[in-house]
Amino acid sequence: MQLPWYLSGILLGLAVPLALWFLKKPLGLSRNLEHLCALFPPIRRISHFRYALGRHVWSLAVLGGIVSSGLIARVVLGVDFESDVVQWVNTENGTFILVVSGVLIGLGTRLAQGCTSGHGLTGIATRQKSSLIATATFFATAIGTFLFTAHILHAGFGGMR
Amino acid sequence: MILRSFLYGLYFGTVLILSGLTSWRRMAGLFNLQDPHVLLVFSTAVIVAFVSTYFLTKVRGDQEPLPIPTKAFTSRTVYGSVLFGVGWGLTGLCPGPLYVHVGAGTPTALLVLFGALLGAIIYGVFDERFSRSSPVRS
Repeated sequence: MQLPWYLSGILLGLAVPLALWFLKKPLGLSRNLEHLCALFPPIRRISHFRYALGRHVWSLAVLGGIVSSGLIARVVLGVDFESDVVQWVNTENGTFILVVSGVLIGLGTRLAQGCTSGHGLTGIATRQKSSLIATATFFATAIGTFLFTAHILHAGFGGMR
Repeated sequence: MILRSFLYGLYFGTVLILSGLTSWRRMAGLFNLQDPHVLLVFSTAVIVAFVSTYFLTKVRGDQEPLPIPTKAFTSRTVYGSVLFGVGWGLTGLCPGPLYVHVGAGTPTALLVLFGALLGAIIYGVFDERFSRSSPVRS
């Protein structure tokens, strides 16, 4: 089931003030990647990850809620996620491409200090120049990357139509 | 606080699913410039977020200021966003939808998450080196 774009947009947009009011925190999801790393003692040997996680437990709880929504949708409601993901996994080198994409997502969002939620929604809604530039940059780059891989390399996009 | 945060996450994840933002077909439609759905959802969300956050600030009046972070603009903002954009364009997964897919257990999402954690570690190492060479390290 999918909602029409205007309802989706309203519910998604309200998530920004909801976080500020209900959690007293700004919505942003990419920093959780660092918190997840900081959960592992071997990774904490890197001084960057040697911070107290206590102040960030709320953020990991948000992550837990998001992960649970996917689990519930699949197990309880029977939503089919598997047939609606990018189909790299079925191609040669697909595993490699997916892991490298992940590295780019993790490294990139942390360098930029935000992703589609922290920069795209919270940052723009609070009129931050860095967020506007970041959002314009990753939208343009994502579109460029897709058009290049799909139309010039003709690669990896089965299940699209 | 933890329960509230968890419920908030459930809300956010559910909205992502109902919005089609966890759907590769929808994301490919955005990247391919064929389907306006995602762009309409995102634009509406930005406008709603902007207006509603403005009113939240007004309603709260003289209470403590909202916890809104200011993110510095540096060259990292740009090249970080370029790297992220490439990963996003290749998979259609930004962190929110990625976490939803991890919950649903799709192998694609688990591989991307593994990579994203590696990426965060690379950032941590890089950040450490970078900070060490700078005199303001405390």
